[in-house]
Amino acid sequence: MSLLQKASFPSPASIVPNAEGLAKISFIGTRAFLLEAPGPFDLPNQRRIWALSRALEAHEQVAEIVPGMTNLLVILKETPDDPDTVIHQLQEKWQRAQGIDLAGRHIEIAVTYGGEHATDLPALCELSGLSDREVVRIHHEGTYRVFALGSAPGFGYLHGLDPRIHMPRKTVPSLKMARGCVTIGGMQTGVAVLTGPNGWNSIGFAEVQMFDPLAAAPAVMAPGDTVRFRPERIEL
Amino acid sequence: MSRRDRATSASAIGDFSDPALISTLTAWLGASGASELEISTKDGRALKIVLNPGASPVDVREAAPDVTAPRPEGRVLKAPLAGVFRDRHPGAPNVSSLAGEGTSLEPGAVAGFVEIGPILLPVIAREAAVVAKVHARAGELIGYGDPILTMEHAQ
Amino acid sequence: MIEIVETGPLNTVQDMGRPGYRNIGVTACGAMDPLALEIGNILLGNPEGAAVIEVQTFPFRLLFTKRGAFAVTGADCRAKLDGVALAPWWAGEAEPGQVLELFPPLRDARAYVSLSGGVDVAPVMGSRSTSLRGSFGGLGGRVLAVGDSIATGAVQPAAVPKGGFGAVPPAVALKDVFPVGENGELVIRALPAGEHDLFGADAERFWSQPWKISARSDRTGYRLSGDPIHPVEVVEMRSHGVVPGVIQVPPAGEPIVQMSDANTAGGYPKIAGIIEADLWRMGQARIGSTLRFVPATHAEAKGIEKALATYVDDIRQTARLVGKALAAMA
Repeated sequence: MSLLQKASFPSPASIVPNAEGLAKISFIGTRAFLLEAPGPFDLPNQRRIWALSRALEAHEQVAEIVPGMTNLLVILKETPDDPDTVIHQLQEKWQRAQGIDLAGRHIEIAVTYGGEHATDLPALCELSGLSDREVVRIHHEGTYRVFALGSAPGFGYLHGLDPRIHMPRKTVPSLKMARGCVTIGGMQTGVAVLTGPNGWNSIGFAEVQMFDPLAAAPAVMAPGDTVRFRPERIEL
Repeated sequence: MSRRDRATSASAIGDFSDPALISTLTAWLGASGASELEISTKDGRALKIVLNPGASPVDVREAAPDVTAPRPEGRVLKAPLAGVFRDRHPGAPNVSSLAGEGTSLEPGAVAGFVEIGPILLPVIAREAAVVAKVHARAGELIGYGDPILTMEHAQ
Repeated sequence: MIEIVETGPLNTVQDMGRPGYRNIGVTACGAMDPLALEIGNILLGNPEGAAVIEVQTFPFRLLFTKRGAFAVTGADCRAKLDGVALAPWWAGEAEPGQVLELFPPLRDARAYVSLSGGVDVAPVMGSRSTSLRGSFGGLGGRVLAVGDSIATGAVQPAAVPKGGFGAVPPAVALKDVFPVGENGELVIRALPAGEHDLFGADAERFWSQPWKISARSDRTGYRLSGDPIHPVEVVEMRSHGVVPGVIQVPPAGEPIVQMSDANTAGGYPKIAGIIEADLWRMGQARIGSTLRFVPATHAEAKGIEKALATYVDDIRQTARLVGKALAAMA
C-alpha cells in the first residue's frame, strides 16, 4: 500500500464561494479557519470583522482570533470532527455581524519625512507623478485607522491612505530596513517595528517604540485606534 | 492484611492486554506488599490485579537481581523488570546485538534493553567483563529477575 | 544548573511557544519538534511544557555544575555523558562536573535537552521560548553562547531510575501512523487551503511531485525546490493571519512552509496547510531532504492526533509505573 498513490484530491467543496454576501471560508491546516469578507477593503467591512471577532472571542471552542485586513483567522482549541459545521457556524455569525466601531485611542506620531531613511520616496514620486512635497503633505494630512495588528510584534496596518500615494509592495524586499521607517505597502501605511527585511516603501522615519514585551499591554496600537502623522521635520 | 493501590489516569493508559505491562504491575504489586491493584481510566477502561492471597508477596523480592555480590563463576545480569528483551535499541534495528557472546563490555555499558510498553530500561554491565552466555532471546518476554546474560571477567 | 561549553550558532531555549498573541503580531515560536520536548519532560517528571534547549547545530556540549537528571530526545545525536554513549530518547542522571555531548545526527535535524525542573528563564508573555526576531524570551532573547549559565527550576523528585531509562522513539512506535515514502522521502499530510483551486492543473503537480528542502530554510520557514507552480491568475491578497504549516506560493512558484518562528501574517496565495500532527516531523526534516505532500481530511488528521495522544499517554503512564515498580523493588 502506498499513501502516495491515494491521490483523490479532496475538492475543497466545503469552502464557500465568495458570492451573495457570503464570506469565503477556507482551512489553514486542521485547527485554523480563515474567513474573508466579500466586498471592498474598507472601513465598513472591517467593522464587521471587528464585530465578528467580538462575537467569537468568548466562544468555548476558540483558542485564538487573529483579525486581518477584512478577514479573520479563527484558531480552534481542537481539530473539529466536522469542519462543515464550523464553516456553517462561522458563516452564520458573519451574516449576523453588524459593524461595530471600536472606541480606539488617538495616536500622534512625529515623523521626519525624507532624509536618509526615505529610501523609496523618489520612486513613489515617479510612480505618482507628484512632487516629494506633495507626497509628504498627502501622507501627513491623512487620518488613519488601525485595522489590525500583525506581521511583526505591535505592527499596525493603517487604513486610509490617499489613493494618489498607493504604491505596491516591492518584489524584492529591502534587506535591512530600520525600525521606525514610515512605510507604504499597497493601499496601507505603517511604521516598521523591527529592523530587518521589509517589502514596504519607506518615505520617512519616526522615533517610536511600538512594542514592549514586558509591558502589561505589550502593543501600543490596537485595532480601532486613530493615527495621525505629525511632520516634525521635512528633509527633502 | 490487604492493602489496595489505586491509580486513575487522566486519559488512556497503554494496552492492558500487554503481558509485559501486566507482568510488571504484578511484580510491583508483590514487591510493594500490596495485594490488589486497580487502575481505571476516564474512558471507563479498568484493570484490576489481585494477588493470590495465599502467595507470599515477598517471593518476587527474593528473585531480585544480585547486582552487588560478584560470584566467582561469573555474574548474571538479570531483568530489572518484566518486559520484552531487546538486544539492541529498537530505533537502531540495523546495528548488531549490543552484547553477543564474546563481546567485551565496559562498566556502565548497555548490554540490552527491557521494553515495557513504550518504555525501555537498560540492562547494564556493572564492571568490565566478557559476555559468556546470552540467556534471553531478542523479542522474548522475560520475567522480573530472569537471567539475561552471564558475564565472565576479562582475562 | 548547567553551563554551555560548546555550541553552534542557532541553539535556543524553547518551550511549547506563546500562542495567543498573533493578534498583536507576536509569533508563537516554540520547539520545532514539540513531541520530543513533551516526551523529554515526561521522562523527567517535569511539567510537560517545561522549557528545554533546542539544539540544531552541533557539536553541542554542556557541563553539569550541579547534580541533576536530564533527557535527550528528538534527533539521534549520538549523545554521550562523560564519553559513555546514551541511547536515543534517553533520560539519565548527571553528577556535577559531568559533560553531556551531542554530535551531528545522521537522520533528523533537532535534538532537545530537557533538564530536571526545566530551564528556568523568566517567562515573557507566558512563555520561555526565545523569539529571535523580537529579541525577547529565552536567554535574553538570543541564541545560546559558550559560557552561558542556565538555571533550572525546582528539581523533580527522582523520576529517572538509576541507570536511566528511555522511550521507544515515535518513528518506531508509530511507524504505521507516520509512514515513509517509497524512496525514503518524508510523507507530509496537508489540507487544501484557500487558493488551492486557483492553481488549476498546477495544484495536481503540487501533490504529485517531490519537493526538496532548500538551504534557505530555518525555524522561520522552509523554502522548497521543485518544478515551480503558478496560479492561473494573479490575485491581490489582503494580509491575513497564518499559522505554522501554511504552504504559501510566492511569485517565483516554489512553495514556502511557515514554521515555528513564522511571521504572524501572510499575503501570498496559499495552496495547502500541513496537519498539526505532522508538524513535528516537518520540524525534524533536514535541509536537502525530500518530501511529498499527501492530501488529507480533518477526519484523517483527527485519527493521527489520537494515535499520537495515545502514544504520549502510554509513555506518561508507563514511565510512572516503571519508576514506582523499580523503587518498590530497590
